[in-house]
Amino acid sequence: MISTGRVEIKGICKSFRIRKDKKISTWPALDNINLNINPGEKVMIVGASGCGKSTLLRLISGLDQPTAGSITVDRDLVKGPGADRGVVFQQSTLFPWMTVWDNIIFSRRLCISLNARDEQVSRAVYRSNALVTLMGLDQSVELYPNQLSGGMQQRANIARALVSSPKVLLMDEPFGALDAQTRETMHKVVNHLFKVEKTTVIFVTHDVEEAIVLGDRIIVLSANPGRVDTTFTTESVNRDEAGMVKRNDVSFFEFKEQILSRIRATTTMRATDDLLQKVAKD
Amino acid sequence: MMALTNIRDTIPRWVYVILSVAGFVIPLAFWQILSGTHIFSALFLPSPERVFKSFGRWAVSNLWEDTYVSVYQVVSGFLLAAVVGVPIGIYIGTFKIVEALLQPINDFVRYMPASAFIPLVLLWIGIGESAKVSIIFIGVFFQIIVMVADAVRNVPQKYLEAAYTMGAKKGEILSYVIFRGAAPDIFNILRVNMGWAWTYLVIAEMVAADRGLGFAIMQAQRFMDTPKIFVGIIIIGFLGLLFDLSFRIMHRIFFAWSYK
Repeated sequence: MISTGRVEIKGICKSFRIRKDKKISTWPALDNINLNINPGEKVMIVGASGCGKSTLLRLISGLDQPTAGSITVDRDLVKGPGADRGVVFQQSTLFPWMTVWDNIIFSRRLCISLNARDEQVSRAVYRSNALVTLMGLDQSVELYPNQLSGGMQQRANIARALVSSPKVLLMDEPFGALDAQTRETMHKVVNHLFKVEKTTVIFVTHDVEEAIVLGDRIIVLSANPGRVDTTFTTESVNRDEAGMVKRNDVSFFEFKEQILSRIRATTTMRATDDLLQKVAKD
Repeated sequence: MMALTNIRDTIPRWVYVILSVAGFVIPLAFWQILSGTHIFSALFLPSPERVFKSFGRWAVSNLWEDTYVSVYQVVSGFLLAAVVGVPIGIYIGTFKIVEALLQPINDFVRYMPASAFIPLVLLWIGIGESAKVSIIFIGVFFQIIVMVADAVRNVPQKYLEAAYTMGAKKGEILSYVIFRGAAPDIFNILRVNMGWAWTYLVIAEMVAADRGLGFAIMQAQRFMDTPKIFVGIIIIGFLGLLFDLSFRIMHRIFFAWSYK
């Protein structure tokens, strides 16, 4: 029974100060976002570029602070970054000066003081080893990150983010920089991972197919300012015996088209708004 | 031939070695020919042969003592500057309040030529070993600080953010991320400053010393012993090359990860 990893996002707003025509104005990136994410749920956030999906993830990770509203993880208010929320970024953030193994065990090592009991150390090693095997990194642990391909680097990043068993795993377009074939392999790896690791996942992507394949729930954000536009669940999509989404099924294409049309709608809304404003000025 | 002149492309190892040797041999040959023509008086341009003989004479008298004294002073002044300067540079590059306090004054002092401090150092400390160590220290200390601060600022923010999300505290970020990430650059900065330390040593020894390579060069000039001046300069060049090479080799060993 999963009981940890409930994320509650209440009235989140985030605005940035920008300089335009020598005037400082505020630009609202996110406006009144409310989301409840259940323990163990895999939530995908999609939307047009610039809709604030990455901003939202940075707020949950605690790397940025919201202008208004609050985020709680299991009722604990998010005040800054912490090991209870693992993050995988689009670009690899493996430390180039450490081997893959040292990178993966890094967060565990931080917690283990010099006079730690052997039991703690062996538990950290056990956990790291399990993730190394799960992510298919057995042959790479002694290598340095710049000796790995992009796909292998992201596997190591995922293992590193999971090693301290975070309540929530935040993923910001983790496969956005990979080629299509590697991405598909990663989807299989991650699908398996999500079955084994029951952690809550919040996953930002611009790839709708990726969202359908990996997610339980898909949230479309509208842009300018970012708002929750529509929420879809992937229940209607047909799956094979292994529980994988059937990519060649009609239900898949129909579902994808539904989501895409929503994203398109949010972008055209913005375009018309812009046009109206321009006309009004003239 | 095209293959050798491709932009940023590698060349065969043997071509590299031959060219490096040629870089030494060609000026040497040019020197030999020029001194053979007797256009210039041997007093101004001694032949390589005479310089080599002078080296032999110096080697059996006190060349090793002079070299030892100079190396000792360079290494002490440089190490002192590195041990104090590197941590200060790291703090300036990491904490804005340290930067605000120390960077402007450091930039101000940095532009004062170290050689201009020589009279002051002589007045305060005299002409002993510590005077030369002080001048070398003044010469490289402020440079090390500003260069290390820049190296530290260049550690990508994404590594700091990743460490924060893994629960790292401030001190852990400083030692495991900022220092480790900037270490190869800091090491290179020290290599460059080692070269500058040699320059300041010779300046210091020319003004006030009774031993050392710089002193020997000055002494030789007084006695119109041009070949010995040549020997002194060439030895300093070789020592510099030796130090530089050892730094490069150590860099490859310590920071293997930064090479592909």
